[in-house]
Amino acid sequence: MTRLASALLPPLASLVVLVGLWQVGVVVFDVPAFLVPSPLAVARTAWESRAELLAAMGTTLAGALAGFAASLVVGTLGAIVFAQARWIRASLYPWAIFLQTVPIVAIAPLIVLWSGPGFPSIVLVSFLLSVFPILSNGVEGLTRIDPSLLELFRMCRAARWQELLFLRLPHSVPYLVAGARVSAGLTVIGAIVGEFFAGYGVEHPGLGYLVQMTAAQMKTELLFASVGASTLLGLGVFLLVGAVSTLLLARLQEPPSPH
Amino acid sequence: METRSQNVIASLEDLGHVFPDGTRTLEGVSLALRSREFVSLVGPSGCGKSTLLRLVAGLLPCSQGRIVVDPEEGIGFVFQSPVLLPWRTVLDNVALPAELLGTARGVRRRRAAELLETVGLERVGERFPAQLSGGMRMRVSIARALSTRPKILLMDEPFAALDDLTRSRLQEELLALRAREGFSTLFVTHNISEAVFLSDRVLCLSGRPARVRADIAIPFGEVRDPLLRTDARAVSLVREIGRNLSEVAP
Repeated sequence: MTRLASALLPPLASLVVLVGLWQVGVVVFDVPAFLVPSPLAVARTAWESRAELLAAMGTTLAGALAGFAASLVVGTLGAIVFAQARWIRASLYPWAIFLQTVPIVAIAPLIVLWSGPGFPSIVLVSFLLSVFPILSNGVEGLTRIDPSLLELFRMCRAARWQELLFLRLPHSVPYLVAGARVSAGLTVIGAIVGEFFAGYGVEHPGLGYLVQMTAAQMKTELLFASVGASTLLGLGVFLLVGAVSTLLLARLQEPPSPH
Repeated sequence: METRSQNVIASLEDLGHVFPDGTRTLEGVSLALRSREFVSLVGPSGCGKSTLLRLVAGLLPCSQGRIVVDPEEGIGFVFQSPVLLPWRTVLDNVALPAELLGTARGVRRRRAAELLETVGLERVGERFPAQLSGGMRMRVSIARALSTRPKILLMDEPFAALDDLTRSRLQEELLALRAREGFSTLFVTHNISEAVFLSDRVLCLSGRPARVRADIAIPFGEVRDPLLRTDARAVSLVREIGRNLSEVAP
């Protein structure tokens, strides 16, 4: 408990100082509220629009979690396919890296063009942004195996599926978990970026839509509150996946994750 | 002579091996491994002793000569490091080869428990490898190699990474295991005293490509007292083998 407190106290203290400076600065220099609202004004607006903000967080969370689930499933299955043969890796891996380097902002409009505005597009953007860490870590975990262990399995005349089930998959779990942690942070960003381009419209706004709309309408207090809510959501998902993965690793008696 | 040849459990005839890059690692190696016999292979490092074990295990194809092993006999392999699966309990690690071969759960777990008792680890069956010492992990590895009741045990410098005390203990346990289970052993080591203490025969190999330079009988029987290590006859055999090896050392 004291360790947790000593870890949390310094950043909290610096936050308080920073917010205080912000409040004082806004008042002293008389900054117009549509440029930089004071933290108190932001807090007041956030409280007044809490229903709207919570609904937006829920909408975005749904998109992010669906994207994350897709990344987990497709990333793991893809890694299994990639791990089957060197030639598969040689011919497909460069494309996976290529896909990773294409700026998501550049392909998002294309995705909306193909699958229309709404949930599917948002999930797809979130998935595209978050699948790579799981895929690449999965491939590493499935292939970076002590050669002696592979020899042992060969000597026991293990079938390919046995090698996969008893050796490669369990070996890859800590790698996949490490990938999932990185992916969890990206998946919320992906959902918000997706909403920029494929927002649900006024009746079901996600955080991305809210950010865009409030910026356009100069509702800067709500914009700040939306950004804060986005940060909280990202942090929440990251912490949740972190906690689940820690539990999972402890259960599996694995050595500490490699990354 | 006739009874002897009947007892041969694996025979290597004029064995040669060339790696894909053209390096010759073995040349004209012949060896008849008899039932219950313990044969050690000593020689300069990198001379192809491990390759020889992998050929016998069927992990590498023979490029020359042939190996005759009854496929029914079964082969167990003990690697330089214990290579256990960290996510499996000790018992499940020992039962792994039997599980892969499709042995029924009850049968393989009973066998694994029995083997753990033989190597003195019956109380740690439900622990995980990370919770064991290096010596205990190697015992688990040996038990695992025996889980399918192989007639041949191949060991690739299994004790090299252990401290002297643990090493001596494991050598004695290995002799006891052999007396109990009756397998034949091909044992690769750099340690000449270890080879003499354990073996019925020591083969001295030359540097690359490896050939058999000398085949030295160690006539001390199956049951050996730890004091044999300092026995004058054993010491003179160690010296003889050492001399043999220093002539081939590069």
